[in-house]
Amino acid sequence: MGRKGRGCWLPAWLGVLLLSAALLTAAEVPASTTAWSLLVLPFQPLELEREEQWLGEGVAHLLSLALVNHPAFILVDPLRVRRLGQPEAWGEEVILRTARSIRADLAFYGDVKRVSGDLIVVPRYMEFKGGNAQPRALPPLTVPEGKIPQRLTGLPLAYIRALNLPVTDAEVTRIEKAAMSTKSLRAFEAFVKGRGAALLGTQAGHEAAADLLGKAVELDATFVAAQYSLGLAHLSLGNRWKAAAQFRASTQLDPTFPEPYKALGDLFLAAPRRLFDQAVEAYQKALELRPFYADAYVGLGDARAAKSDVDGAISSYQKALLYNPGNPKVHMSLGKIYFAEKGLYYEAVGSYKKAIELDPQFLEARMGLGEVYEDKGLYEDAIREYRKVVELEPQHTGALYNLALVYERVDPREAIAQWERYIQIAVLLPAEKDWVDVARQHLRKLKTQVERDR
Amino acid sequence: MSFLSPLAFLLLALSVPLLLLYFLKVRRRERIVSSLLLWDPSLRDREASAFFQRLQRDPLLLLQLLALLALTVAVARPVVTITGQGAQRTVVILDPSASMRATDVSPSRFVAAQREALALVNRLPSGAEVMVIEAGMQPRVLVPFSRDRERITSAVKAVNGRDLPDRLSEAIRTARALTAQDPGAEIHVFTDGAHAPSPGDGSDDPRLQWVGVGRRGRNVGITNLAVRKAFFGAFGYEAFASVVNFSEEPQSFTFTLDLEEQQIAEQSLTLAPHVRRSVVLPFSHSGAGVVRARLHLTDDLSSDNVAYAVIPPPGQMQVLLVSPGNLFLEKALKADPQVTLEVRTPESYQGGMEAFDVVVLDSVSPARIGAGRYVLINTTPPDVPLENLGRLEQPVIMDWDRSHPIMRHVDFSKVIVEEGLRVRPLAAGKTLVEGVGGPLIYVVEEPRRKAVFFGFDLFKTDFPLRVAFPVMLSNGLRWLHPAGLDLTTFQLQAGQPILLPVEHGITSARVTTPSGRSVDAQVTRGLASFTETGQVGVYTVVTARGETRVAVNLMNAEESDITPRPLPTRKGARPSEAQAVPLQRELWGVFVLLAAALLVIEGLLYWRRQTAGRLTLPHGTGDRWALGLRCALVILLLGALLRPVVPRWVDRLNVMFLLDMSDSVSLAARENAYRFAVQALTGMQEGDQAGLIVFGQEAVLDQPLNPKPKLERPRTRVPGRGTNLAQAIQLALATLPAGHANRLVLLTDGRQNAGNALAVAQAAKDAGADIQYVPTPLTFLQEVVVESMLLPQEVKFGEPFDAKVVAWSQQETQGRLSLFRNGEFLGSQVVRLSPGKNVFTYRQSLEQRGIHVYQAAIEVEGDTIEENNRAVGTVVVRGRPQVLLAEKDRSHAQALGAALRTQHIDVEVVDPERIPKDMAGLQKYDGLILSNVSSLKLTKKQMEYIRDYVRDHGGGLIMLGGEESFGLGGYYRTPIEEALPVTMEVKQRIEIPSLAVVLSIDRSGSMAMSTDEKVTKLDIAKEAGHLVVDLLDERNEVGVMSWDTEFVWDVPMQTARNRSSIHHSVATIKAGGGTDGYPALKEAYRALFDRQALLKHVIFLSDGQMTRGDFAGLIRRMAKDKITVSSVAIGKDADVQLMFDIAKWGRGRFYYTEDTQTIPRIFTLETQLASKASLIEQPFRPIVSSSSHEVLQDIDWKNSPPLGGYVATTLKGTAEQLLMTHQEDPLLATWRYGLGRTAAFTSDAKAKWGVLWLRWGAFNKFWGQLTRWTLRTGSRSDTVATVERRDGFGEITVDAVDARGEFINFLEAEVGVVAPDKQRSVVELEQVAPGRYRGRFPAPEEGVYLVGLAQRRAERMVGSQLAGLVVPYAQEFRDLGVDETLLREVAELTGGGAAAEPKDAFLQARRHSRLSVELWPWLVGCVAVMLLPEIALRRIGPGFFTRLRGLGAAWGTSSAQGGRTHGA
Repeated sequence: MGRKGRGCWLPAWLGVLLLSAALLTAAEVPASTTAWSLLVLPFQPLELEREEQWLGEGVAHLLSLALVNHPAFILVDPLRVRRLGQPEAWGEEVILRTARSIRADLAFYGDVKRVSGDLIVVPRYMEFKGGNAQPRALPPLTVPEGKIPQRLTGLPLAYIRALNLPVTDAEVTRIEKAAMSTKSLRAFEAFVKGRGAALLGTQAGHEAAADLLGKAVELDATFVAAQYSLGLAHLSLGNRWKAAAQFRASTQLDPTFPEPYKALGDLFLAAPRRLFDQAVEAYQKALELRPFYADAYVGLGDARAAKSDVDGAISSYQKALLYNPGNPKVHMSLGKIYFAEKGLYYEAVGSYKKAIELDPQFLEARMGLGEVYEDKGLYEDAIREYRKVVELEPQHTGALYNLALVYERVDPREAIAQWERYIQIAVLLPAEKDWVDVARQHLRKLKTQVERDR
Repeated sequence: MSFLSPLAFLLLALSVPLLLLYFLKVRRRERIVSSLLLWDPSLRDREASAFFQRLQRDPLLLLQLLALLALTVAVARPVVTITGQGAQRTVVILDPSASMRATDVSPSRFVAAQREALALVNRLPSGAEVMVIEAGMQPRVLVPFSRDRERITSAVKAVNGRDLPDRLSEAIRTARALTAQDPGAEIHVFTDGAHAPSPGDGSDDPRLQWVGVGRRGRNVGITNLAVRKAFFGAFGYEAFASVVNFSEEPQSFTFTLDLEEQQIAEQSLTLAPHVRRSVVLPFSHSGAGVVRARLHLTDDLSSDNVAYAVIPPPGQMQVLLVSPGNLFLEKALKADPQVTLEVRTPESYQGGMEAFDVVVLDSVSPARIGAGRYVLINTTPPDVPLENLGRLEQPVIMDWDRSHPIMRHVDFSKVIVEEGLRVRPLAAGKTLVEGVGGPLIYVVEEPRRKAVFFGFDLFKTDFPLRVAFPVMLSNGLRWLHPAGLDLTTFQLQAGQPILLPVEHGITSARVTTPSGRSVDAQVTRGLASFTETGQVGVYTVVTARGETRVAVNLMNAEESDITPRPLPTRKGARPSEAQAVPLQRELWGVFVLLAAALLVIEGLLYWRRQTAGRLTLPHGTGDRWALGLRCALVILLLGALLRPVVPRWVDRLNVMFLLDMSDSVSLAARENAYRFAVQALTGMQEGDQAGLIVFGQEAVLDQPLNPKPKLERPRTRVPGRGTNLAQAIQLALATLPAGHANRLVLLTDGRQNAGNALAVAQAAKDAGADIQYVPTPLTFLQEVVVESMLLPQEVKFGEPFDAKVVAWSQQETQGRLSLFRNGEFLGSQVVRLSPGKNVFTYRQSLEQRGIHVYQAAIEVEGDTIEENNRAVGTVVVRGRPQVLLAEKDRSHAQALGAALRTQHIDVEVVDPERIPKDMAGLQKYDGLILSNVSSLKLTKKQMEYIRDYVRDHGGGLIMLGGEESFGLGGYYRTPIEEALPVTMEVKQRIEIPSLAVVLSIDRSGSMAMSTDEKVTKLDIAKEAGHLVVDLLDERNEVGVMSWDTEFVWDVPMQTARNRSSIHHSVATIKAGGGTDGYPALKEAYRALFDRQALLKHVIFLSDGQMTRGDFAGLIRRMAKDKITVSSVAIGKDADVQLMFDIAKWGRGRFYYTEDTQTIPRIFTLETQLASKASLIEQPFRPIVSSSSHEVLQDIDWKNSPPLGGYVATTLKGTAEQLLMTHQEDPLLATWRYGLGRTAAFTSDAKAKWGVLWLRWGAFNKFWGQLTRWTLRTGSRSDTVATVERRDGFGEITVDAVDARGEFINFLEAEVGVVAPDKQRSVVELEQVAPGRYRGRFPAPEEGVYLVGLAQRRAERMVGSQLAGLVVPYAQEFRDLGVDETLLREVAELTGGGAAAEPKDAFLQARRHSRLSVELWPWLVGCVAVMLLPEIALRRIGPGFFTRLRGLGAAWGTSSAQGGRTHGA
C-alpha cells in the first residue's frame, strides 16, 4: 500500500514543484505595470534672480540623476521634451499636454523660490490616468543658503515615499549617492548649464556644453556625472578619444556608475574599428550594475546585431522593451533588424511605426521606415516619410539625399530639384563631401535624361 | 524336380552326330618312317577297307555323352521345391553418411556396418525376403524384396561410404512406406548413431531395429567456411571459418588457409572439448581461385578436416539498354558493379542480342527480338509469347511471388502502378507480380529465350522510386545471365546437386569430380545439373564457354559430431516367427559343374591317350586344336556359373500413378483422378506394369507394380493436411525397378506445401523416369479463401499504409470481412467477391512502436472449407523518424519544425555549421532538410557525403528555397545538385541583362601571405579574377582594379571580349603596400554609376585588414543606385565580420575562402546572382501538376494560399513535378536518387514567401507528407535481419555491415522468440560467414511468432530489429486450384508433360525398358553344341572337310574297284 501511496503522491509533488518554479520565474520578471514613464520637468523658478534661474533645472537634473536608479521609473529622454519646444513656463496644462504627447505616466515638477535667503523647493507631481490628472504637492523643502545641492538629496526619496513605492536599502543608498554627486554648487551649476546647452543639439550647443562641463569637472574632479556628461559632449562633437577618456575616467571614479559603461558601449559600437565585442562587454557591465537599464539593453541589441547575432539582438531588444515598453529606440532597432537581417517587411514596418507613434519626432525611425518603403517600391510612402523628416529637420541631408533618389523613380524633374537642394546644403558640410560628388553624377545623369526626353 | 525350360532337351539330339563320329574310323596318324616297302600290303588293305567301322566301346564316348546330358539338363533349368523357413520381410538400411567413414572402428564404421548387415542377411532363414536401401541424399532401393542372397550380398557390398550428411529419416520413411501393409516386416538400420533424431523418422515404429557401429567421437571438424567479397576495395575478401572440437579431450592443431595451393594464413589452435572457434582472415586476390581451409591433425574423421570455397572469376555483364530515355533505368543498371552498360536509342536497334549478355528494351518494340535474354519493360515484341490485350487502369497489386530468385528482398506492398499492360502469357513462365486483371511482372522461360517482362511504364509507377527496383533489376539480370552469380552458388554441401546456370546455347557440360572422374552433366532449361556430389572436394564443370569450379564440403556440425548416441531399442514385442513357404531352387549350376567336370576328365583321358601319359602336347594338329577348344569350353562353362548378363531393350513401361489425397483435392476430384488411372490401364501393352501410390502429407504405396493390375480404389488413408509431392515421387522412384522405362503419373492439383518436388524431379530425371501430370481441378461448389493479409514489413511512426486483404473466391458472392488488430476488432463490412482474386484495402496508420498483428476474417455463406477464411499479417512500427533541419536562421525554422513535430516526426533544427561532416553523423537521421543553406556553408566533401547518404544509404533530402538556396546558394554543378530533382540552371525566359562587373582586388602586403595551400591570398584573388573573366561573355563589361593605399585600374572598364589581355593584366598584379579599400570602392561606384549595363556589381576581394572608412554608408548608397557588392574574404586571418557586412550592406554575397577550390563555386554563383534570374519574388498560387502523388493527397489545393516568391530552377528529365509556379517553374519536384528520395521545394516554409502558408490548415499535413515521402524506409542499423519460414522452421539471417562497408564479425546476437502460445524461447545465432549470422527455431504452430533481435559488440548495441513470422493456417486450405506451373516445370524437367487422355499414360512417348538377360543358358547351350566339332577334330583331324571330300572320292574309287574285283 505504501508503495502505491508514494506512486500517487509523486505526480502531485512534481506538479507542485513545477507550479512553484513557474511562480518563481514569473516573480523574477518585473511587472511592467509598476514601471512609470516619468517626465522630470525643470522646477519653475519663482522670483529668483537671473543668476539663480538655473536652480529650477538643477533640481530637475538632480532628480533625474537619482531616480534613474529606481526600477519603477523610466525617465523620458529630455531631448524628446526639448524637441516638443521650450514653453515659457511649465504650467499644469502644458505639463498635461506634454505628458500626453510623450505618453508619460507621471510628471515631477515644482517651484523654487527664495524666502528669507533660504531656498524653498515646492515639489509637485501629477499622475496621468485616462487623460485626467490630479496635481499633488509634497511638503515644501527648505534649503538654507550654502547647502545647495547637499540638502536637495532627500528630494528623490521624498517623491518615492509620496508615491508609496517600495524601495530597498541598496536603492536608497544608490539614489542618495547619485543625488549627491557633488558638493560644489559652482560645479553643479556648470554641470546643469552644460547639460542644458547639450540639449540644444547644435554644434554650438555641444561646444558650450563641453566648456561648461569641463568647467564643472575642473571645479570638482570627483563629479562623476559631469565627467560622464563631458564625455557625451565630446562624443557629440566627434571627439571619440576624448569622449572615451572621459567615460573611462568616470568609471574609475565610480565603478558602480553604469551610464559611462553604456556610453562606452555606444562608442565602441560606432567605432570605425568595429569593436563590437568590447561594446557587448561594456553594455553587459552596465547591465550588471543596473539590471533594469533599458538603454543598455538597446545598445547590447545593437552590438549583437552588428555581430550578426540577430537572435541575440532581438532577445536584448525584447528585454529592453520589458523594462521600458515605450522606448521608441528599441522599436526602431527592431524595425532595422527585422528588415535588414530578417527580411520581415511587415514586422519591420510595424516596429518603425510603433517607434514613430511613441516619438513622432523620431527622425531615425522615419528614415528607416522611408527606406523600407523605398526598398519595397512604395515610393509615395517613402517620399512622405522623408518629407516629414525634412519638415522636422530641414537640414537633414540624409533625408534630402534619399528624397532625391526616390524622386528619380517617380519624377525626374522633382528629383533634379531635390538633388540641387541637397547639393546646396551638403556642399557646406565636410562629412557630405563624397556624397555631393555622387549627387552631382545623379544630377548630370538626370539632366541628360530629361533633355533626351524632351 | 521339374524343369523350367523342358525344350532344352532337344539338345540331346546332338548325341546322334556324336555317336556317328564314333562310327567313323579314326584317321591315321602320319608318321615319318624310313621305308614303306614292307607296309605296302598293309596300307593297301587299309585303303581298301570301309570308311566306317563298328562302334567300339570307348569310355571317352560315354563321358562325352554324359557331359552332353548334364549340359542339356542344365539348360532345361531343373528346379526342386523345398520348404523355406522364416518367410519374413526384412529391410536393410545402410547409412552411408560422412560420420560412417570414421575410423574409430577398423577399418571404418561403414565397413563394420556392412559386415553387420551381411551377417544379418546370412543369419536370416531361407524364407526371408530382404530389401536393401541406401540412405543417400535420396533413399535408393538397391534390391527390392528378394530371397536371392547373392544379389542381396553383392548389393550390400556394393554400397560405399560417402561424405553426405545424415538422411536416415528419409530412408526410414521410404522403408516404412514400402512395408506399410506388413506388420511382420523388420527394418534394420545400420548406422553409427551419430545423428540427431529428427521428428517423423518413425522411431516409435516397433518394426525398426537399430544396429550401431561407432565407438568414440574423437574428431575436430571445420563446420563452416565462407568467403565474401568485401564491400570496399576491388580485391578485398574475407574468409570466415568455424572449427569445432567434438572430442572429449583438448586438441591442438594447425589451421591453414590456402589460395590456389599457396598458403595465405596459418594459425595454431588449441580447442578445449566441445568448443567452437571462429576465425576471420582477410586477404586480397584478383581473379578466380579456390580457397582451401585445412586442419592438420589426425582424428577419426578426415572428411571435415578440409573445406573449400571458390572465388568466381570477376565477370562483367554486357547489358544493352534500348530506350527513348530513362534515367531511372540507366542509373539502376549502372549502379550494378558487374554491369557494363551501353545505351542506344530505339532507332539504332533492330532486334537480337548482338554481343550483349542481356538486352533491356524500355517501351521499345522491334519487329522481332529473337532468342536470347531480355528485360522487357512496357513492351510485348511480336515474337514474345505474351498476348497484349490492352491496358489496365490503376491495377491493384494483389500478390507477388516471394520465392522466385528475382524477387529476393523485394517488397511490393507499397508500390502503385497508374497504368499497365493487360497481357496473357502464351508459353511457359511464371507470374512474379500479380495485379487485378493480369500479371504485371512475368518471367518467360522458353528453350531458347528467357525474359523478364514488366507490364508497365516506369514513368507511370512509383516502383523505380523504391529500393526494390534496383534490387529486382539486379536479381533479374543474374537470373537471366549466370555470369554474375554470388559466391554461395559455388559452394555446396555434400549431396546437394550442382545446378549451374549455363550460358545461352550451351547444351552439354562435363563434370570432373574431386577423384578425377569425368562425367557428363545434364543440361536442361539453361541449367547444368549434376547430383553425384557425395564426395568432398572441388568439382569442375566444363562447358563450351569455359569452366566453373564448385566446392563441395561437408560443413555439417551434426555430421562432424561423430560421438555415437544411444540408439533406440526395439519397442513392443518381437513379431511372431514367420511361417514356412515353399521355395523353388534351381539346380542348373550343379549340372553345369557336373558337365564341366566330365569334360575335364574326358579331356584329360584323351590327352593321356594321345601322349602316352607324357605331359607334352599331342602330336597331331587336330588333337591340339581339340584340346584348346575343350579348355575354352570348360572355361565358358565355369564363366556361365558367374551368371553373366547382357542388356536387352524391350518395349515395356512401368507406370506408377501418384494419387493426391490431400484436403485441397475434393472427393469428387479424387474420384475423377482414380477413374483416370483406371481408364489409363486400357492402354497397357504386353509387359507393362502399373502401381498406385497415394499421398497427402505423406506418401504410401497402395498397390505395388503389377503386370496385370486391377487398380482398386485406394484403401490406404493418408493425412491430408499437406501435399508432399516430393515424398510421393521419391517413394515411386524407390518402388520402380532401376533401369526400366519408368513413368510417374501425378494425379494432383500440384499445390505442394512440403518438400521440393523440383529437386526430386531432378533425381527422377537422373534415374531415367519421366513424369506426366493430370491436374485435378477444384470441384467445390463454393469456396472462399483469404489468401493473405498484405502489410508492409515496416512502417514509420504515424505513417499511413495500406492493409490489403487478398481473398480468392470460386464464384461471385458476398461475405462479411472483419479486420482485427492485435486481437482487437477494428470493424467489418460486407464485401462483394468476384470469381478469382479480390483485394480489399484498408488505410491504416499506427502510433505505437513495436510489432502489430493484423487479422482478417471473412464469413461467406455456402463456403466449403472454414479453416481458410482468415489470414494474419504483421507490421513493425519504428520509432518516430528523425529529421535534421538545417536553416540559415534557426528562428525561421520554427514553423516547419513545429509542423513536422505535429506529424510525429522528430526534428532537430541546426545551423548550417552543424550539419554533420561525416557519414556517421548523417546516418543518425532518416532525412535531411536544407532550408536556405548556402553551398558555401558546406565543404565539397560534406556535399558528397550528403549525396552518398541519399544515393547509397537511402536517406531523404529536401531542399527549400530561399535567397541562399538552389542556384542562389551556389549549388550549380555540386554533388547536391546531382541528388536533387531539379537543376540550378534557369530557363532563359528573357535575355540575361547586361552586366558590368568590377573586380576590386586587395594587393596590400598582407595579401602576399600564403595560406595553407602554399598559395598566397593574392593568388586566390587572381584566380577569382580569371574565373570572373571566363564566366562573362562579350555582352558584359568588366573592370579589374587593385589597391593598396591607392587604387589602380589594372583593367579599365571594358567589354569582356579581349579576355587574354585581361587575363594577362590580372596575372601581373603584384602585392605590396598598405591597405585602404574605401577609395577603391568609391572609385568602383563612380565607374559603375555611369555604365549602361542593367546590372552592376562589385566583387571585393580582400582579407579585410585595412584602414576603415564609412563602408556602410558608401555601400548602402551604392545599393540604392543598384550597384551590388559581393565580398570575398580570403585567408584564415581575414576580418570576416567586416567583409560579411560589406556584402550585407551591398546586397551581395559574402564568401570566405582559404583555398582555390571554393573559388569556382563562388563565381558560378556570383554570375547567377548578379543576373538575378533565379530569384522570382512575385506572389503566386501553386498549380498542381501531379495530383495523384501521395505527397499531395487529402489537401485542398484549390484553396491553398499564395506564396510570395521562389527560386527558379529547371526540372530534371526523370523527376516528377508535383507543384508548379505561375511561370511553370518547378515549385515542388521529387524523384528517387539511388536508394533514397529527394524533393525540391523552391519556395520557403517560413514567414517570408510562405507567410500565408504558415496559417494554412494543411501546412502541417503537407510538410508531414512530403517529409515522410522522402524519409529512408530501411532501418539505420548496421544490421539487417530477415526471418523466413522454411521446412517448418523459422530461419533468422542477420547481415552485419558497418557504415564503411566492412563486415561486422563476432557479434553477440541475441534472439528472443515468442510463439503463438506465448511461450518464450531464446535462439542462438551462429556466425556462418563474414558479417552473416544464422539461427533457426521450430515454428510448427499456426499463428504469429514474434522475433526480437539485438546485436551487440563489446557492450555496444550494433543493431536491433523486431519481426513477425506468420505461420498461416494449413497451407493446404490456402492454395486451391491447380498450380499447373509447378506441374509443368516438374514434368518438363524429366522430359514429360501433361497427360491429356488416360491412355496417354501408357501410349504417349513410350520408351524401351532395359532388361538384363542372363547369358548362362546360351553359354551352356553353346558348350553343348561346340562339343560336337571338338570331337570331330579329334576323330577326323584338322583337314576335316578336305578329308570329307577325299572320303567321298575314296568312296567312289573303292566302289569301282570292288566291282572290278568282284568281276575278277
